[in-house]
Amino acid sequence: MLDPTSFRRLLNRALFFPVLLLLTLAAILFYQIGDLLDAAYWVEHTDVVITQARVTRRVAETMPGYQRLFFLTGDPQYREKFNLARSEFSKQIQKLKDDVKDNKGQKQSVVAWENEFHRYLEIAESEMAAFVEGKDYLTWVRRGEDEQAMEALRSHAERFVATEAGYSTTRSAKARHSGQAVRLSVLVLALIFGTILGFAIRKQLLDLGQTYVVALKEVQTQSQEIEQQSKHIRELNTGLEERIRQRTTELEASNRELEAFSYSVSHDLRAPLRSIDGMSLALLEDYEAALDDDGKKFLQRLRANSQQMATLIDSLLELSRLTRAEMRREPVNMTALADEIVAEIQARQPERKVALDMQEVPDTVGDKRLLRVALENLLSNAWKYTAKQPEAQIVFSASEQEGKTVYAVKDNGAGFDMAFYNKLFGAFQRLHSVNEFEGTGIGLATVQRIIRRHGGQIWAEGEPGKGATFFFTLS
Amino acid sequence: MPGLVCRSLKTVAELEKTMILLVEDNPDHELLTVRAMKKNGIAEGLVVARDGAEALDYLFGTGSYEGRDTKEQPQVILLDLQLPKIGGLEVLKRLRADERTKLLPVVILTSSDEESDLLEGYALGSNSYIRKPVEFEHFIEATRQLGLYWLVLNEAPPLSRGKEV
Repeated sequence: MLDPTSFRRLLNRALFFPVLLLLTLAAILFYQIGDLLDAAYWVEHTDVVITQARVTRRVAETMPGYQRLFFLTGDPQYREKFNLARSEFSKQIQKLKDDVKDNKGQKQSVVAWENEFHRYLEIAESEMAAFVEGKDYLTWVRRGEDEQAMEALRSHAERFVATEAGYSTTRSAKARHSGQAVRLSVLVLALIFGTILGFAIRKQLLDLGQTYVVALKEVQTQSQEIEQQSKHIRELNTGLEERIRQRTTELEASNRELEAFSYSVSHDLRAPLRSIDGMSLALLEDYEAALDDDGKKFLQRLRANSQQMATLIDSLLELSRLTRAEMRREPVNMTALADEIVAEIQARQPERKVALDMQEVPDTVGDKRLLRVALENLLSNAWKYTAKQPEAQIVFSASEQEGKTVYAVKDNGAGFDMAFYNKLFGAFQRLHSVNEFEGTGIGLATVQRIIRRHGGQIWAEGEPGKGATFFFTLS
Repeated sequence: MPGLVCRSLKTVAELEKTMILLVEDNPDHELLTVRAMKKNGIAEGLVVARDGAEALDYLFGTGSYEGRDTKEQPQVILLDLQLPKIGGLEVLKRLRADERTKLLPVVILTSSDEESDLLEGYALGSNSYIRKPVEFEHFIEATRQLGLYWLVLNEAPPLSRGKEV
């Protein structure tokens, strides 16, 4: 995979490499063009030197003319012109010397040239001095020594120019070659560098492309995996929904069955009980004379039992109804509800003296009807199990534990043994005999169901003879 | 003390004509109900149908009651819900659908106190709903009050008075 850092490095390389390549190209061309310019300079320089040599030679050549004119006319102006030419020559020869100072051979040639001039000058000066003094200058002239020196100078000059001209040809050729070399270099280097650059860029692009192809493949693989996973999840979901539907159907079916069952319990179990009770009463009433006291007692026990069973059935039905009934959530004022229930309980047994401590407790949200049943059971239990306590006390309170409201119904009645705690909330489980305290053993089971349906919890603490406390939370 | 008799109370002659149709399949319950009625003196003119079909035959003069004068209709029907063949609620529905019987007072008398039965019973036009108590003294008392109310205090719809209409 290509991370941003290595991508930046790649980009830098892509920039740096061409720049380096072009710089190299430029350096090579720069060098070659310098060479070319140099060659061109030397060609031009040769021309300058040749011209200078010619000018110098011509100046020297004018001097014998002035010399002869002076001899002929004796006019000092020619002597003057001769002197001027002489200083002009010195100037020009110096210039020429400067021009060829780098070329040893030519410089020597110029020095030889100058020597010949001095030789001529010496002779010419001597002749002219003899002329002025009126001595025999003609013999000297006839000897032609000055003429020879001048001729030597001329031949030196010609050789010099010829040499220089030879240089010119060589240098021109060199310049031409240089120019061709530059053109060729540009072509070849441009071709080579272009190719290198092209290949380098091609390679980098290919590498990059390769990297992206790999990355793309990876992404494709991943997206395929994700697609497969989500498909799998969808399938799971569908399966789950299907299962939920199935379970719901099953649950609904079992709920219907349960309803049918309790309906049938309600009707079919009660019907024979009615008969038993009715017949027993008929016996008691219509055959009173034929029955002794024991007989009557048995019949009465029969009736009491059938009635007890009817109560049990009713409690059971009530329990199943509470479990099935739909929850209607609404705000419930628990304080008011408890007060109401206690007032009703008290009204049923106004003769009992119970110290009631009904505290202010937080409101809740829940099914008021169900909560009423639960609270009624708990408060009735407290009421019932304190019946044998001369100073009965019942406390309804609430506290805050771990952010939850915990309601508590506390009494100082019969209590229970914690050893039997696991039987406390079971249906038809009783911790006291009917003789002690009447009841069906369904009350706490009912309470537990109601609390659980509210998402709450119920638990209890108790001690035989000291009382019990029931705690519960509501979600 | 004729002066003290309430205006709505029926004469003895009328009372003799009155009929109760008891629809009850359980013979034990029938026995006990009849006994309770006897104790309260309202067993005269009691007709018992053992299932829903028989009840309808009686009321519409069909089947084994072919030819019965259907102008003579009971003053009150005590209807059990759990009945073989045709259930109590179905009987009620058919009663209410028929011109001849749609106004007849019907008291549902059953062991069930299921909310759904109560609701449906009233929805179908039941006039009263009584749950049979297990304790027989209570039942005798209920029967007494039933007789007093439906046979004596209550003014039946004109139809059940037969020819007087």
